[in-house]
Amino acid sequence: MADGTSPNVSIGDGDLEPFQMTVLSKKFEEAITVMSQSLMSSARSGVINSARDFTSAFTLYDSRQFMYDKGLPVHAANVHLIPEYTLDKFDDISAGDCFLTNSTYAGNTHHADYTLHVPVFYEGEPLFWVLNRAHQADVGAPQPTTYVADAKDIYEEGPHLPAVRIQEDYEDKEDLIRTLKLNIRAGDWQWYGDYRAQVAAVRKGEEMIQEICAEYGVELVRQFTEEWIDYGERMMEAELEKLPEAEIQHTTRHDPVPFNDAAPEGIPVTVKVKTHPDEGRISVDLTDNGENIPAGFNLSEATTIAGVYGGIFYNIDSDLPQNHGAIKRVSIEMDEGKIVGEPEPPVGTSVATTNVCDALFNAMQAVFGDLGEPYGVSEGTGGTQPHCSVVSGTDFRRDDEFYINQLIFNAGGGASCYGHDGWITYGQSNNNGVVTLESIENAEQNYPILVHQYELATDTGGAGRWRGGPGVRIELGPREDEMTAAYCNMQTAYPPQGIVGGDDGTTTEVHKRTQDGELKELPGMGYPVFEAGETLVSTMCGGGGYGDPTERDPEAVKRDVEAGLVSPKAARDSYGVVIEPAESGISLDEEKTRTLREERTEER
Amino acid sequence: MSYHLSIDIGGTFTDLFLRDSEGGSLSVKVPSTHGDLTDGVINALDKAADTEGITRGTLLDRTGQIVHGTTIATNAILEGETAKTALLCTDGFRDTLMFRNGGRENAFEVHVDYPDPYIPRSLTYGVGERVNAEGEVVTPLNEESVIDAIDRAVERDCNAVAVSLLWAHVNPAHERRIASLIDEHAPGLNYSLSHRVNPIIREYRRTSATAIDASLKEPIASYLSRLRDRLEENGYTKEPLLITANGGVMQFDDVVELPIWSVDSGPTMLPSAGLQTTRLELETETPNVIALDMGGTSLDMSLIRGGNVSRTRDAEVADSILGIEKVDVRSIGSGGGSIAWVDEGGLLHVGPESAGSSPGPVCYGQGGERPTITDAALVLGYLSKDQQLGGEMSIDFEAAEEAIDERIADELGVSTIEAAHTIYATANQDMVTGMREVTIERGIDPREYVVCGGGGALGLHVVPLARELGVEEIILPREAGVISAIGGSYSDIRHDFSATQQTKSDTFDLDAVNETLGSLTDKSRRFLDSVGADERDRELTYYTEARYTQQAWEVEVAIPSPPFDPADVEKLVDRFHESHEATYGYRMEDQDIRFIHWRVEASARTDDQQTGAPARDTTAPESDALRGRSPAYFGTERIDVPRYHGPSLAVGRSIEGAAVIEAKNTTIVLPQDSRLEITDRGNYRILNR
Repeated sequence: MADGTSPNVSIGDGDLEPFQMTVLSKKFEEAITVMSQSLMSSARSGVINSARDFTSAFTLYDSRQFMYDKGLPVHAANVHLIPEYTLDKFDDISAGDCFLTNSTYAGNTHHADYTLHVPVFYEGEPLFWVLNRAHQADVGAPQPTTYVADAKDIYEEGPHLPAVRIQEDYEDKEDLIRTLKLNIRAGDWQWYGDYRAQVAAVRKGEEMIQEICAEYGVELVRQFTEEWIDYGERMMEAELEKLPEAEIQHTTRHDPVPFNDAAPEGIPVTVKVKTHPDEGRISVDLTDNGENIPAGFNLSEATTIAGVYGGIFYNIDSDLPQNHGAIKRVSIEMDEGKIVGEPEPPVGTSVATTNVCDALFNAMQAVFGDLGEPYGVSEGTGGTQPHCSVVSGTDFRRDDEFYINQLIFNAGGGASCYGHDGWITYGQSNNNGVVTLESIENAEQNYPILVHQYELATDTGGAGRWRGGPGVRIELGPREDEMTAAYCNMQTAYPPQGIVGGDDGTTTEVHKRTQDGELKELPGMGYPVFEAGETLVSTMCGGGGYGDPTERDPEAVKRDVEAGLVSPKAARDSYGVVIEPAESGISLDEEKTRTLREERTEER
Repeated sequence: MSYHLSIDIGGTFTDLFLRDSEGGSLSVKVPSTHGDLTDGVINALDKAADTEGITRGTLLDRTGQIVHGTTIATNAILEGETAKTALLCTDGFRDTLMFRNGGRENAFEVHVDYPDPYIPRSLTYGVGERVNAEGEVVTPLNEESVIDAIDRAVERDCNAVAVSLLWAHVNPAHERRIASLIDEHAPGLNYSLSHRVNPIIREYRRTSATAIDASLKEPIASYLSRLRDRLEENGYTKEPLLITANGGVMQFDDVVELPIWSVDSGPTMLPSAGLQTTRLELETETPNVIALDMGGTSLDMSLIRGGNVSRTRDAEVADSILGIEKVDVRSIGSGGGSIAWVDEGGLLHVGPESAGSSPGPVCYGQGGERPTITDAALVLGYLSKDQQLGGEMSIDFEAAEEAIDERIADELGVSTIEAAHTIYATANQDMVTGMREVTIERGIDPREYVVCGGGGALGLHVVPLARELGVEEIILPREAGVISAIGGSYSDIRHDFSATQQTKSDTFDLDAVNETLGSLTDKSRRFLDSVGADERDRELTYYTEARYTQQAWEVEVAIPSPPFDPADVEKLVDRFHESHEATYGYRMEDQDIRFIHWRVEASARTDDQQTGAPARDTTAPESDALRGRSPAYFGTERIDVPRYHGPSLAVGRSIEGAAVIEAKNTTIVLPQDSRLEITDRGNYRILNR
C-alpha cells in the first residue's frame, strides 16, 4: 500500500493507487454479483428465479448511486430515489434495519417491485445502502395480476408500502410479515419464500461490504467511492463528446386505453433531445407529454428516469459505470402530473415499468436515428403481451390448488440497429432481452396449461438494411378448468417504428380460438377467461427495421427466406430480392434482384 | 517393466504422462497436429520412447493401458465442422434451439449479432404429435409428417438427425417410433433420441444435448477408429479408453453410441488430477480442493468438495448448452496472454482480449505490441530474462518494458514497475472475482479448501490467489505442466444413467421411485459387465435432484442406495434440507419437496492407482538448485530474491519467500510470508501465512 514513495496518480487527488482503484471496483462488483446469484438460485417465483426480474444495487449512504448489477434497464439510474425517501422519513436508522418500499410515491418503479434496502454500518458509522428490487408474483391487487392496467388510482393496486421497516436488529417484524402473507395471494409460501431469498441477498451484500471496509479501512473505501463516481462522470463525458451536436425529437404512440375512457386515442410519447458535445452533456425535455390518466399507465418518477437513461445507454459504450457521476451528465426536464414525468398522487402507476415506459424507451433509443447512420436503435416490442400473460386458476392435478404467475415466454420483437438485426429473445424495450425465458415443460409442469405453439412468425419483423426481430406466435390454453390470462398490449394499433429508412414492424393480434375452432378477436388489453378446449392465440408485433431494406445484403434475405422468417413475396415486395424455388430449397436470382432494385431506386 | 500412458490432445500441445510399474513417471509435451490430430499422439509416443531409450513398438508393447483425451469434439463444435444435422421436433416448437434460455448477458450491449441456433431453422422440421406433462398422448404421432421430414433431411444431404419431442423423457413412445421410421426409410442415417441422450425436463437442455450428440456421431466414430487403427499398426491391441465429460473414461464403442460425452475430453481431468494428488499428499479420501489450470488464454477451475467433484448441467460450448451433467470446469478469462489497457477514464483493465500464442506477449518479439500479463511478470522480475518462454524464442525484456511504459505507465502516471504491478494485481483480482463467484454459487467457503493444479502460468499467480481467497495450503504436482494428463492417468471408468420420476415429499410414490432406481441400477450393472469390471472395483453412487415445490432450479443431493422403505423418505427429505441450507444459507422445513431426477453414477477403478516414488535425487546439495539471485518487485519494494531450479530441489527441502522456483514448465513465485517445501512424493507444497 502507500509506503510514501509512490507518486499520487492521475486518477484522483487522494493517495489511492491505480491497482487499488481497480481491485476495489472489482470487489464491489463481486459483492453485487454474489447477491444477485444467491437470489436467483433460491427464490421461488418464476419471475425472479427464471426471468431474472430483479436488480441489486449499492448507493452511498447519502443515496448517491454507486454501483448496480446492470440487471434490468428499467431499474437503472433510479435507485437513489429509494434511500433518498427513507432518509427523509426516518431519523433513527440503525444497523440491522431493513426497509421495504414498493410505492411509486416513495421512489419505486411500480408497486409489484418490492425494493428491500438495508443501511451498511461499519464501526458505528453509516456508509452505504444495499438494495435489492425484485418483481413479485403477486402483490394482493384486486385482480390476480401484478399489472392492474385498469386501476385508476393506487387504491385499486393492492398495498402501497412507503419505506416500511420490516426488520429491526436483523429480525423480521412478525406483525408486518403476517399482514403481507394475508394480503398477498400465495403469500405464505411464494411471497414469503421470495422475501426470505431477498433478505438473504441484501444481508450478504451488507456483510461483503463490511469485509471490504475491514480489509482496506474506511478512509480508503471512502476515497475510492468518490473517485469511482468521478470516473463514471469522466467516462460519460467522453461518450457524450463523441455525439454530433443536434436538436432531435421523436414521437411514438401507445395503444388506446379503453379503461375508464382513459385514452381512447392512444398515448403519444414525445422526447426532445439536445446534445452538447462541447460540454460532454445531453439534455432531455419530456414536458411535451399528456396529463395523468385514470389508469395504471402513468409512469413513476423512477421509470421515467430509467427510460431516458436506458435509451441513452443503448446508444453509447456499454461498459461505462452507470453511477451517479455518469448520471450527472444528463439533465431531464419533466413535469409533475404528466403520464411521462412524475405522477400526481394518487393516480395509478401499476404498469409503469412496461407499456408507456416501453414507449419512452423506444422513443429515447430511436430519437438518435435522427442523427443518421450509424446512430439510433429502432423501436422494439413492449407491454405485457399475451405470450407473457399472468395466468391464474386452479390446478386439477393438485387438489385444485390455486396458481398464479407470469409466463415468461419472452421471445420476439427485437429492435435493430446499425450493423445488427433485431435481437431474437428481446422481451421488451425496458429490459432489452436480459430476462431469462421459461421452459415450456417447466411451465406445463407447474401450471395446468397446454402450449400448442411457440414459434417465430413469418413476415413480422420490420424490413430494413438490418431487419427488426420477428414476433412470436403463441397458442395456449387450460387443460381442464378455466384459466384467466391477464395481458396488456401497447402495439395492436401502432407498430414498432423503423428508423433511418427502415420499415415498421407488424402490429400485435390477439384471438380466442373457441371450442369449435373459430377465431374471435380479443381486445388488446384485458383479463379474458378461457374454458377447457379454448385457447389464447396471439401473433405479436415484430421490431422496427433499420436502414433502407433495398440495401440489405441479398444473401441475408435468402437466409431469412430459407429460415421461414421472410416469405418469398415479402423478399420481393419489401427488399427487392427475387427468390425462386430450386431443386433442393430455394435460390437467389441475382440478375432479377439487381434489375428490381434499380427500378425501385428510379421510382423514388 | 510395464507402462500406463495418458495422452491428452489440447488446442496447442499434446501432453503425455507415463507411469511405470516401478513407480517412476515422466511427462512429454509436443505441439498438437491440426491436420491429423493422431500424428501428435505418435509424436508424443516417440518422444516418450526416446526418453526411456526404447522404440515406439516396445513402448506400446509394454503398455497395459492407454487413456486418451482429445479436443476433437470441442474443436469440431467451435469451428462448425460437425456433421450436417437435421432436427425433428414437436410441431409448433421449431425455435427451441434459437430461443435457448434467453437472458442476454449485458442489457446495454446493443450492437451485437444474435447467435445462430445449433441447427438452422431451415433444417428443423416439426412433426405432428404431442404428449403432456404426465406423459399422456394428446395428439398421436402423424407418421406421414415424420416420413416427409426424413425425406427432406435426406434430400438436403444431412448426415444425422436429432429427434427431440416435448415430454419424451416422460413418454418416449413417439421418439422410438420415429427411430424405427428412420431405420426403415433412411437406413444408415445417424440419429440421436432425446430420451436416450439426456432424459431430463426442460426442452432446451434436452434438445441441445441431442442436437450436439447427433452432429458428433460421424466425426467421433471416424476419429476413434482412425486412432485405434494407428495404435494397432504400432502394436497396441488392447482397448484404449477415452476421457469423457463426466470426469471418467469410457471404452471407444460406448463413446461412439453417445458421442456428446466426448466434449471437453481432457480438461475434465483437472479435478481428477487435483483429487488424486491431494488424496495422497493430505492422506484423506475426502479432500476439499480448488483445482486450477492456468495457461496462455484462460484460468480453468474445478471444485472438489469432500472428495466429490462438482458437476453442472449448464456448461456451454459455442453459445449452446451441453445439457448433460458433466464435470464443472469453469473458464475465467485471464491467462498469460491477456492484454492490459487503460480506458478513457483512466482505469486499467486486463483482458478479455488475449494475445494468445500469436502474436503472443510483447516479449516474444513476434509482433505483439500490447503488453500482457506475461510481460508484466517479466518486468516485475518473476520470469527470468534468460528463460525460454512458450517455445524456442528468446525474450525481449526491453520491448516488454517499453510497451508497459508507453501504454500503461504514462496513462496512469506511475512508474513502469508500478504499472507492471498494477497489471499483475488487476489480473489476480479478476481471477479471484471469477473464482469467488463459483465458490459462492456452490455455497462453499474457500478457507476450508486447498489449492492444487498446474499449467504454464499458474505458478506466477497461485500464492496471491490462494491468499486472497483465504486458502493456506497449495499443492502443485512436480509434473504440473501436464496437469490434465496426470488426471487421465488416475481416472475411473464411469458412466451416468439418469431418469425423471417426479414425486412430492408429502405424497411420495415409493414404488415408482424404487422401480426407476431399480432400472437405473440394472443399466449400470449391464454397463459394468460390458467393460469387464471386477466386482470389487465397482461402485454405484446415487443422487436425486430436488427443489422446494415452487422453486425453478433443483439442488443435487447424494442419497443412500435403493430400494427405499417408507422410513427412508424422511432421510431423503432431511438430506435435501441440509443440501439446500449448505448451498443457499437457509431451509424451509415446513415446505414440501419435489423430487425430479434420479441418477446413478456407475464407476470402476482401472488399476491399482499406485503412485510414483519421488523422481528426485535426495542427496543433491543445495548449491545444485540455487541458480542465482535477481531483483523482483512485490508491491512496495524491489527485493533481491534467490532463484532455484525446481527439479534439483531435494525432498524435504524448505524455502522461505521471497524466492522464485523455476519448475518444469512453470515458474513459481513465492512472495514474502510464504514457504515452499518438497514433499516426500516430490511435489511442491506451499504454505501461506
